[in-house]
Formats: sequence, structure tokens, C-alpha cells
Amino acid sequence: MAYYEANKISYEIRGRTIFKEISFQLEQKEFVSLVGANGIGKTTLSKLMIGIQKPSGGEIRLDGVPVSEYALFEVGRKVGYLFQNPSCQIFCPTIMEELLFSLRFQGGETPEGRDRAVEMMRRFSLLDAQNSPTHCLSQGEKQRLALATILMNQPEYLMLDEPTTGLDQVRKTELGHYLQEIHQSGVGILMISHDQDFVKQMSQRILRLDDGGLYEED
Amino acid sequence: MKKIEFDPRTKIFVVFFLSTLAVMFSDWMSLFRLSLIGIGFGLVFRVPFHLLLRRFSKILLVFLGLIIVQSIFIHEGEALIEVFGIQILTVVGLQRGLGYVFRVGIVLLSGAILSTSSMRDLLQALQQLKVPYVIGLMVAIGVKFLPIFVQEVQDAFVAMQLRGIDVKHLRMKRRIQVIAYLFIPLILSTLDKAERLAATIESRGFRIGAKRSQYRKLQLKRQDVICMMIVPMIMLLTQN
Repeated sequence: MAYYEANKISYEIRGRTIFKEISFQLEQKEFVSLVGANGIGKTTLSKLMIGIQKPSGGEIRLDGVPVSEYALFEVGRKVGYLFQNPSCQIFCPTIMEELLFSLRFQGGETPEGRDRAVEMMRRFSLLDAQNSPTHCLSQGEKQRLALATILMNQPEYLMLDEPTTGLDQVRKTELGHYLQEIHQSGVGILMISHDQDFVKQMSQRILRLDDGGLYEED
Repeated sequence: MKKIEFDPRTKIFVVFFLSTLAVMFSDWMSLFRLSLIGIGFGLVFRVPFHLLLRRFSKILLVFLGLIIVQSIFIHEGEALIEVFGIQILTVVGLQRGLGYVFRVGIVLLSGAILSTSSMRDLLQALQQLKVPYVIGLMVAIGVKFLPIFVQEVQDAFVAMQLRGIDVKHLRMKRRIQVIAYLFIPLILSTLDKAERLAATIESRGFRIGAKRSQYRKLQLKRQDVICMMIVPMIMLLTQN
């Protein structure tokens, strides 16, 4: 059974068809990229997959269960979602607080949780910035922090919306290493990106949204 | 049939009366009548009520909560619902609750009436009403950015739930704590937007107090004059 299964999903907004009866399957340990022109519906598709928006027709199943049957927080515990603008998912004034934020509201901080947070800071090169207020972090640091906070929940799958936006070549290479490391640890990834080189370098499969349909690239 | 277009100044005039009377009136029946008149003007100005209802459908529950809270804490009047001798819903409580709901409804309706004119027309109207340009510009920017702000609140709330937090089932104290965290990304993004907007405006040569030339001037038409004449009369008739 595929981890994500979309069966003939369609999406219309204000009478405009964004995509029509598209079907696909994503395995849990795959690294898949979703590409396509601006405004073609890539982010919309990812939002349908986590249940923020509802399809006009068809059904998406996550781990065998229709996404519509999950509460948003339940999806969040299975699938980590990195927004295009990481600032909108950073809530706390310090890095440590941010990393422990979801644990605090999911049953409380534990010594293991704090150890994991320190480990995340080390893994994502955030130790040097740990005393800086989160709003003063650079775009790259914010993105690493957002990624680290998602991984604190130990998700089974990751969705990344344009993770390379605003990153220079060095930061992009660095992000590539982090993503490979996460993927090798058994987490499936769906990455939305315009960056052709990065997509080719990272992905096992590439899906292209075009003219209302979804096609697999060779 | 030709559509009748109203001058934005007429809409400002109606909104001024609606919102002033909504604050002045305290009895629910006057507020109810004022709401009906507001809806009537909304229809005249072609407020998209179906969109308005869809957008605010979620806060209808808050309205219901307002009525209940008012009823619980106001023990005057005949009890409509009583449990073990405790008055849950009283006539006066219900009336006050309804009064609050109508008042909030009128405020929302006023905003909806203003939003039927373009921002440029509203700004022009404020300028022709001799409101200082800077104030008009601030109001225009505030109104323009309100939907973006609402969207950001929703996005941040979604992002919070996607962190695995079951906000709905947290205890009230914890829920208040978690919702307080929503303000951090919002305040930061608002400050960031304000800074960028200020830089953009300045880079386009905007200066406070500079004399501005205008190509287009708004003209009051017959329908505007008639509307402005009947508005005070109709509205004052609403009071008990």
C-alpha cells in the first residue's frame, strides 16, 4: 500500500479548473519532486494532501485513510510541512523554545526532548545562533530552524514548498545534504521546486503538473 | 437596466450614521431595526452578502457564544432556562446578547459597504471631504491589508496545528497560551510589511504635505443627494 494515494482528484476555484482527475501514488521512503510553472497548482496540490484545502472531486488517502478523516494536528504528527515562507511557522522568541514548542503542548517537555532539541541544533548548524532572537535569523537559518522543529515531531513524511527560495549556492548545497540525511533516515519527501538542477540532483522521481494534468518525467 | 453607481462619499455618510447610531443605541429593538436598515443599504450598494456570510460563517458561533455569556452573567428579567435554581438564560440577558450581536453585525456591514468602492475612490472621497491625505492614506492602507492580515492569522493557526498541536482539546489556560504565540509571527510580519511599504512609498517620491494634483474628481449625482437626505430621517426613526 502506498503512503499517499490520490485517486482522480480535481480542484476548481471560481469556475477555473486547476487540475482534473489526477491520480498518483507516493511511497513512504521515496524522494519525489513536484515541478511545474508558476500558479499551476503545485502548492494547492500539497495543501490538498495535508487537508488544509478540500478537492472538488476524488479522494486522497494518507497511510490508507482518507485525509478528510484526519484532524489537522493528526496529519501534522505524520507529515511535516515546510512552508515557502518559514517565518509563518516560527512562533517563539528563542531557538530552544521553538524546538520544544510542540512538545510542550503535546504532553510536556522531557529531558529526552531537550536532548533531541540540542541534537537538532547541532545537526542543523544552529548552535552558533542559539542566543539570537528568532526574528533576527537569516532566511537560511529560519528555514533550517523550521525544518528542525518539524523533525522534532519525528514525522514519517516531509513536504517542502520551494525550500531553495532565497538561498545562495552554498546554502542550497547545505540544504541538499540535510535533506539527503533526513531521507536516508527513512523519511519520505515530496519537494515542490522550480530549481531544475536541485530537483534532478535530489529526486528519485519527478512529477510535473501541466495543463491540469500530472505527468511523470523520465 | 442601467446599474446605479453611488459616490463613495454617500457610502461614507451612510456608514457614519450606521456606526454612530450603533454605538449610541443600547436597546436591542433599535439595534435590530438599525441592522435591517443597514441590510437595506447593503442591498442598495450591492454588498456581496453571499461572500460576506461565507467569510464570517465561522464567527457566527462566536456571536452565539456572546448571547449565552451575556445571558449567564445577567440575571435580570424572567428566566427562560434554569438548571438547579441557576438562571442560564434570562429575557434581559438574551436581549443584551442580541444587542451586542446586532452592534457587531452593523460594524461588519459598514466595512462591507465601504469595500464596495475601490480603495482609490475611497481615498479620493476622503480627500474631497477635506480629511488630511496622510490619514486617508493610513485608513486606505489599513483596509487594504486587513484581508492579508486575516489570511496570515489563518496560515499561522494552520501551521501551529501542523506542528501536531491539538488546539481544540487543550485546556482553556493552555489554549490561551498557545494562541498568544500566534501573535509573534503576525507582529513580525506586520512590522516587516510596514517597513517595506514605507520604503516603497518614499522611493516613489511620496512626501507628507506635498501638494498633489488630481486628474479625476468625484461628482455627487442625484441619487447621492437623495440618499444623503433620507438617511438621517430613516435612521432617527429607528430609535424607540
